[in-house]
This record gives sequence, structure tokens and C-alpha cells, in this order.
Amino acid sequence: MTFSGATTNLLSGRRLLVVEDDPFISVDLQDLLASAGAVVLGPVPTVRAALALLETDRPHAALLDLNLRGERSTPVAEALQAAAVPFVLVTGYSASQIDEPAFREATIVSKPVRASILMRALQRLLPTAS
Amino acid sequence: MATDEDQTAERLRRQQDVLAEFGLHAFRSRDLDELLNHAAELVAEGCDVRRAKVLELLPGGKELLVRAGVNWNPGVVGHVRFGADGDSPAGYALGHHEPVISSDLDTETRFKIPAVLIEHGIRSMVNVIIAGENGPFGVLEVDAARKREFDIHDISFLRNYANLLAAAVERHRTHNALAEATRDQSVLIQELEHRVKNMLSLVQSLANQTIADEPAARVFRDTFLGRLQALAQAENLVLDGHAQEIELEQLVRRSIEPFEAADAGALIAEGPPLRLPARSARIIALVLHELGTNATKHGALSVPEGRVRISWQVEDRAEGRQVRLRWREEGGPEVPPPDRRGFGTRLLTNLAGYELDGQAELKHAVGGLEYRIAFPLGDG
Repeated sequence: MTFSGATTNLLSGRRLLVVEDDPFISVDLQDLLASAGAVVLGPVPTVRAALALLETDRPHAALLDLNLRGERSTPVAEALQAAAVPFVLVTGYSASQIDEPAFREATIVSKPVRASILMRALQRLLPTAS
Repeated sequence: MATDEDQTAERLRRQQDVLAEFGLHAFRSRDLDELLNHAAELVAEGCDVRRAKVLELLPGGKELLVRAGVNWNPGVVGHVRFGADGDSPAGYALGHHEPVISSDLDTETRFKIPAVLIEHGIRSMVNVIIAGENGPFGVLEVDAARKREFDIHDISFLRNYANLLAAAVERHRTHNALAEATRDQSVLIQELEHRVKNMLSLVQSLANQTIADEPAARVFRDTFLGRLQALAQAENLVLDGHAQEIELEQLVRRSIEPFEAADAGALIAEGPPLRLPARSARIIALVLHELGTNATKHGALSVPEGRVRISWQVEDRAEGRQVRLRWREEGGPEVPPPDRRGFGTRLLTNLAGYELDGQAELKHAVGGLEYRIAFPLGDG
């Protein structure tokens, strides 16, 4: 991932949850979001850890990986929807491989992630007033 | 002189034997043609006739092929076809669940007599449908060259025999479909492995070909390529082994190989046999690469007298097996503590801990670095 797409403070003050099992990608996302001024919650690598975090915290938005150590992240998507937290699905799977209702409306950013595309997707999800 | 009763008892015993023998054979046979030919031989024996055959309903359902048989002239088995409609004896039998008996073909009016039967002088016959899960497989036909009656025992025998044959054929089909699916899948996996290797090579070439004239750029490129190669090597171990697990000792030996100086023995690895999931193996390969690179540049491997001991243990705990891996440098030069914010440090501590669900610790001790990581084996 390159950071060229990140404009400083684009996500200023935003609390974003990162759910990603790969340590390298999670740290990369973390750095990217922080460089744009966001506060990163997590990252968490499992469905269980993500659900536990959502019980006590409510982020402005989330970045969600589809496959978390062999488990689909559908329950996390459902919890996010129930809490009205918008999310971006960040995955290597193609849209045709994703048929769960929880992901029907989801914005998909495919891996490997391009910073500019992810930033645009997040901006669209988050209300402009900040 | 044998009575009729004796003869019937003898025939029943023979038919029982035939059923038993075929039952045994049917579930051992790997080859469908061999199975069907054997079925024809045995059914002829059971009915005390010279000829029998198995007709297969061909795809499309319009024709029946003589797929197997016993004592037919050349050019019949594998060649002769009958219509699958009611005009042929076998076609007629397809529409009936019970065996169709023709005691005298001279007076048979339900269907036409095919030329091949006339050529072989067939006078009496029985046709039984061989059922299948998705429509019938075909017809079993027993042919007598003399006029004869088929009694209730023969019919019962043929019905049982045809059902057994149907089950055996079905088993064959399922077995073959499964074998084919497994083959398809393994081809797919090989293709995927190939693509993973190609992709890693491609990334490597892109990095190599990207111009890096300035020293800082070269450092970046070499560091990046070193890490990529460590990852590719772990990946190859997984792919070449066609396993989802890797022997830790093998992984350690491969990972430290690039850092072995001319005087081998600077790196000592010891620990019990231990198979790690592929996932864990990747991060450990990167960890060992990072430690090895650092030791070669700044640590124990930068001086002739320096040593590195790599050891691991497995502990049985209530919550599962726990692995403890340790890298200990000895005899290294005095060096400042590692940069806490550097990627190498981050990889060794946070990232490895994140990936392995474990605890990693990096200590700056006398004589060189000491690194420990403890993590659950996660094998339940």
C-alpha cells in the first residue's frame, strides 16, 4: 500500500475500527488511517475479538476483512449494521464470492488496497459534518 | 437317480452361491467392464445357460449397447446395439420392474427378435432391468439355446441378482465421480500453488527492476527483497510439502541458512519435533529472517566468535500446548539497544504476537539480543 492517497486530517477525529487478521495488513491500515488523522480501534484479528470490542465501543465506521482466520466475518457485519455503524469490506474475494445478506449493500475495497480508493470509500461512508 | 426335488435344491444352492460370490466380487472390483463381464458369467452359471449379457442404456436413452457378455461370437460385446423402445426384448424389459420371461421365442409376440439372437440360436430368454439412482443403468439378459421354462426360483434369483448388480454399478459410478472430483481439485490446488509462486517471483522482479540509484533506495530495496524471499521460502516449504503443517526444525534450518558463515556452527538450533500450522510458519520465517539479518549486521554474527542459539520447547497446559521459541546471541559486540519504532522491532514483537496470539519479548542482553516468543499451538 502507498500512502500517497492519504491527505492529512481527512479523517480527523474519526474513530475507525479495523478488523483484519493479517498482522502486516492490519499494521499498514493502522498507519494509513492514523496518518489521515483517524483514531484506530483495534486492530482485532477475530470475529470474537471484534464483537467484544463492539460491546463496549461504538466507532464512526469500520474496515472489515471477510475471512478472519478461516471464519467469515458475517456476525461482525451484522453487529455493525445493528449498531448503525457503516463499514467497508476490505477483501481479496471478488463480489461474486460474497453472497451473505449482511454484505449486500457493502462497499467493497479489494486487496491489495490502494490508499486513495480506501480513503474515498471511507469519505463516502462518513457524514461530512465533523 | 436324482429326483426333481433334489435338482431344485441343487439349483437353489448354486444360485445362492452365485449371489454370494458376485456380492463379494462386486464390492471389490475396481473396473466396471470387468465387473459386468463377471456378472454375465456368474448369472449364466446360476441359470445353467451358456450365454448372458449386460446391456447398457446409452446417454440419450435411445439405444442399448451390449456392454458385457459371455460366449457370444466376436463383434457382439462392445458393438451390437438395440433400440431402447419396446421393439427389442431388452427395450421392452426397460419398461417393466419385474423380469420379463420368454420361454419360447418362436411364439413371442411382445417384441421383435433381434438378428443376433437368431444367429446364436437363442430359444428362451429372461430380461431384467438394472435399476439406477437416476434412471435405469440397463438390462441383464439370460439366453438359452434350448427351449426352457424359468420357474419362480429362477425369477427370484434374477431379481435379486439384478438388484445386487444395480447397487454395484451405482457404487462404481459414485466412486468414479468422487475420484474425478478429487482429481479436479488437486489440479486446481496445483494451479493455485503455481500462481502463488509466480506472483511472488513477479513481485521480486518488479522490485529488482525498479531503479534504485541512491543508497537509501538500495537499502530499502535490499531489505524489502530479503523479507520477501524469507516469506517466499516459507511459502515454498508449505507448497512443496503439500501439507498444511511444517516441521519447525526444517523451517528453522532453512531460515538461518542464509546467515551461516563459512565456518558453520555459529548458529545452533535444537528442539523437539514439532509441526506448526502453515500460518505460524510464515511469520516465524519472517521473525528468523529479521533476527538473522540484524545479527549479521550488528550482532553476534558480525564477529567471528559470535554464536546464536535457537531453541524451542513445547509445554502441555490446561488450555492446550504452548510453544516457547528463543533466539539467544552470545559473544556479540557492544551495540546500542534496537530502535523500538523500527519495522524490524515491530515485526518481532507486535506483529508476531498478533499473528500467533502470543507474547513476544526482545531484550538487549550482554553479548547480543535475546528474543523469546510464546504462543499456543492451536491444535486443540
